[in-house]
Amino acid sequence: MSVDLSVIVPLYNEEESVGPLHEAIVGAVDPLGMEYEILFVDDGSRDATFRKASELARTDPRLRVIKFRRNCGQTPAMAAGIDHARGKILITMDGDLQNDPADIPKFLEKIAEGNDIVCGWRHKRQDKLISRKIPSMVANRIIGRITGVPIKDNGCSLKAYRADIIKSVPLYSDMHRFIPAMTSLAGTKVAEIKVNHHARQFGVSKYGISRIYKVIIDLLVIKTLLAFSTKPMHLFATGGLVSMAMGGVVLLRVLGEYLRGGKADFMLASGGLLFLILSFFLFLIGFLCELIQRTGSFRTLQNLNKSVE
Amino acid sequence: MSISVIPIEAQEKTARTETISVIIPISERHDDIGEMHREYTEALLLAGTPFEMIYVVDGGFGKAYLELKAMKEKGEKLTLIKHSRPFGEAIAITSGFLQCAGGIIMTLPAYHQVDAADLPKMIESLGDHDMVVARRWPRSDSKWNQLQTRLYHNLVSRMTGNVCNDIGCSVRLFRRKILEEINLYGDLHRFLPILSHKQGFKIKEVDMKQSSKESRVRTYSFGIYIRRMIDLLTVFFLIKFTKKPLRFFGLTGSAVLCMGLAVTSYLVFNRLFFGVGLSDRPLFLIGILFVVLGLQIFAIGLIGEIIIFTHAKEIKEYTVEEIIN
Repeated sequence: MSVDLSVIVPLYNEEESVGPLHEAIVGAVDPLGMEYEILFVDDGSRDATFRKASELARTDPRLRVIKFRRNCGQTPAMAAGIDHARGKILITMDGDLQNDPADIPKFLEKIAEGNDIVCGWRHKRQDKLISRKIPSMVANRIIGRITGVPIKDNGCSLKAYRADIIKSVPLYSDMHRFIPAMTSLAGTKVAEIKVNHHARQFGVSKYGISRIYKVIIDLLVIKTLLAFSTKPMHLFATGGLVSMAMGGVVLLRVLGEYLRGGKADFMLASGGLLFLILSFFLFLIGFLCELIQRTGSFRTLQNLNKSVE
Repeated sequence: MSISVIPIEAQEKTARTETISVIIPISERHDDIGEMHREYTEALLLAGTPFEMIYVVDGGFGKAYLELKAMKEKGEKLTLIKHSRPFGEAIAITSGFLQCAGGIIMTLPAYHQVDAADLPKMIESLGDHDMVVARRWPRSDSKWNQLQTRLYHNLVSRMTGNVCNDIGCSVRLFRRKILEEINLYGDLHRFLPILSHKQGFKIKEVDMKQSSKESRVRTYSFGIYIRRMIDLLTVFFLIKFTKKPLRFFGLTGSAVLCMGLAVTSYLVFNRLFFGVGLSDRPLFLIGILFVVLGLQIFAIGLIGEIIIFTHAKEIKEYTVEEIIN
């Protein structure tokens, strides 16, 4: 059974929000006259979130609730929702009522215009300035610069996707932040629209400032993946060539000195040799990457948007 | 791998959820099988729940195999599996699991570890938990054994978090879904409680009297101790870094790289401005060595990330307990 639209909401300790959220989503989507489903993913909450959600599900057959055995994190929760969704268009949003379901029709319009992914942009963000807004502004700039997908607000969970695209993107760890960049591997069309953002009514924020190290490392990974998807050997081979050149120059100098009758500088020669070794190592890693690239996600992603005419 | 199986009678194989399948892997270390079988079955009969006995002979050990076969021919109800060569205890448990019919699984050692009379107590305490692990308590073996157990336990809980107090005790009772979800290989069976805990299963520990026959002082060869350490490292990585290898490799890599860069730039600085020659400074080599090593660690981490990325669709990061509608 497939439907037109799936709304996916990860929930973690949001017992107060469940009811109002469900009401707001139904209120926003019902008038559109589409066939839709709502997926609540309970990410191992320790409060009454699951009980409340399953009570709602008893009266509303369009609501499905997925319960995790333990707390797995926001990205896995979204991944579970996406894996289980039956819609042709998927919308993800936060469960804390900070996103406004009333924006959903706008997203659907944008998808109908031919975009593969539509990202929300919280242009009037209702969060703390120092600990939330400024770091995220800086992060978004850097992410845009490095990945080449200039999204103003990567952290906004309110996004709409064509199901076949997002279902083939590997979502794990904290990668939800980089979905637009990841899908650019498949050559997708990304749009961005302004959305409402409300201050948190219930519960507490589950984010801290400690994410910086993780984001930096993830960014490095994304950059590698992006660079790597089209030219597998390139990245490592460039490194290999650079270190080979360095080692070569040093060794040649030592050799020249020796041939001119001087004493061979053992220390310098060894240093040069080390760099030569590094270059071989990097080439080998490059070969390994070639092997890996023939398997799994890379091939699926690259074949996604190919149309045969 | 080739495994020969002598199945129990077909009519008994109909899966019943309350049936306990007892899996006993037989490897190098085993006591008199006939005696073990008698002790275990007597205790399990007292518990009153239906059960089946599955013995997995891991490789050779012809004597134990023949003994079990003879017992079976004499009418003892048991399933006997034999591996053509040793695959290790984890694989032995897995192949026992593939043959078992029960909804609850119990692994028991083929040697004396706990007093069999305490088994009914263990079965009772399962309740709505997913796993019950035994802790040998009170202990009656030598001080040297106890010291080893304690040291090992401290190390394990330091590295993986404190899940249970006697990881070395292989008497465990758990629901079928645990092995359906967790893939056991190598020496991972030792850490099943830790892996299950990580998957969000509810675990309970019960004290069981240590068997009075487990009193022999055990000193293993040096190689065994090394192997235990490597196992522990494997689990440590599995638990902490499988999803994000670069978070670990990046940290070590950049630490080594920075050290190397600091040393090298200090020496180059001295060479440029104070004319201290590089050729008689072995430190220079060490600096470069560290730079090279740091870059290599980083590159390995990136390879790890790429592998995870390509296969992330197959490795599910979440465990669904229930779906409504």
